[in-house]
Amino acid sequence: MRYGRLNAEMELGAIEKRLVEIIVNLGYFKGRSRRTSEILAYLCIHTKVKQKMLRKATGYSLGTVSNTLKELRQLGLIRESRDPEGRERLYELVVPLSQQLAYYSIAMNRYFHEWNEFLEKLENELRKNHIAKKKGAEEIRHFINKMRVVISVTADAMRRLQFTKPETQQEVADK
Amino acid sequence: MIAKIARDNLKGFDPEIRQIERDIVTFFKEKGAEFGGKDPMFMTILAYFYVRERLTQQDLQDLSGFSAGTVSKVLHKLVEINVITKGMIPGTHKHLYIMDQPSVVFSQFYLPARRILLKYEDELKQIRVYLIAHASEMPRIRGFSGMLAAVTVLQRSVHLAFTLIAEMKEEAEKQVKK
Repeated sequence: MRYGRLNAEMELGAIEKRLVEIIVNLGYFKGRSRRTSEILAYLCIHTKVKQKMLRKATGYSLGTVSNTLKELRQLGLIRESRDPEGRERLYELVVPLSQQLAYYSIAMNRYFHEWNEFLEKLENELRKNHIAKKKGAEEIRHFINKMRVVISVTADAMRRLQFTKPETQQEVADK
Repeated sequence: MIAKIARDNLKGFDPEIRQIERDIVTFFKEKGAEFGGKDPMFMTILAYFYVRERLTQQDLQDLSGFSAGTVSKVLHKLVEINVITKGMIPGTHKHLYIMDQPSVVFSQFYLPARRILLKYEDELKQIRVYLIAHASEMPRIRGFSGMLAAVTVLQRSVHLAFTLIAEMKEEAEKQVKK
């Protein structure tokens, strides 16, 4: 029985390593470093973790783990809390992995809206007479047109997949 | 301050336009982190490519203030995922990095991303099947339920990302035809 449990633990350990590797490789598309992705991967799998557990799992020094957690907190991706059973701090994802799809399907509408507002602001800025013909204005205009295509392509693709829900009339009116 | 003005002049943008460009970079960085957990340095370099399209490593160092090592790492990633291409400046030994039009970027990005996502989708499916099959032996082991939940969500996310990039490529091609 004990041997069976040990076997199962080893199997699970190997699966965890492979999962971490997959999450790290997927993080490459987000431009993340291996160190950041690795620590995020453990937070995805274990929900709440302590620095010492991360040090043991990743092999990074406590200083590296601590700095990475600080960076992730500043980016708003994780939060820190007090462990009720000890003196160590606990770290967890602000949006748990299990809720990420639902969260982003709502957040993406806001994302597209904020992008469109930002591009409109840039366009208004460029319309000002003293700026319109300055060096670099043409590049910014070109950037605006390009981003309109990128945002519209992404938003249309997401709507077609029903990843983001179409806005209700009330939501449109609220804007 | 003098160095900053010199850098801006060197890159050919009027100071007021350069400020607009900085606002764009900040927006990229902030929204990239807020809505996708993307790396701020990666997003900074990406933003400069969206605005200027053709840049050398030195240009990026001057514009962003990042070290040669940081710029080099980000460029390597962007080339690897086919968001930019690397060429030579004729008559020099310098590399020039180029970002094409969005439709071209989507198409370039599509194949390698599809290959990677398909591979992981398949592997995650196998892991999930294995975990479910061994569920009776493992549930008391620390981390089992978290791992099963993570695999389930990742499998769905990878499938969604895979379908999404295919849709985006199709949409981008339609936009070009318009």
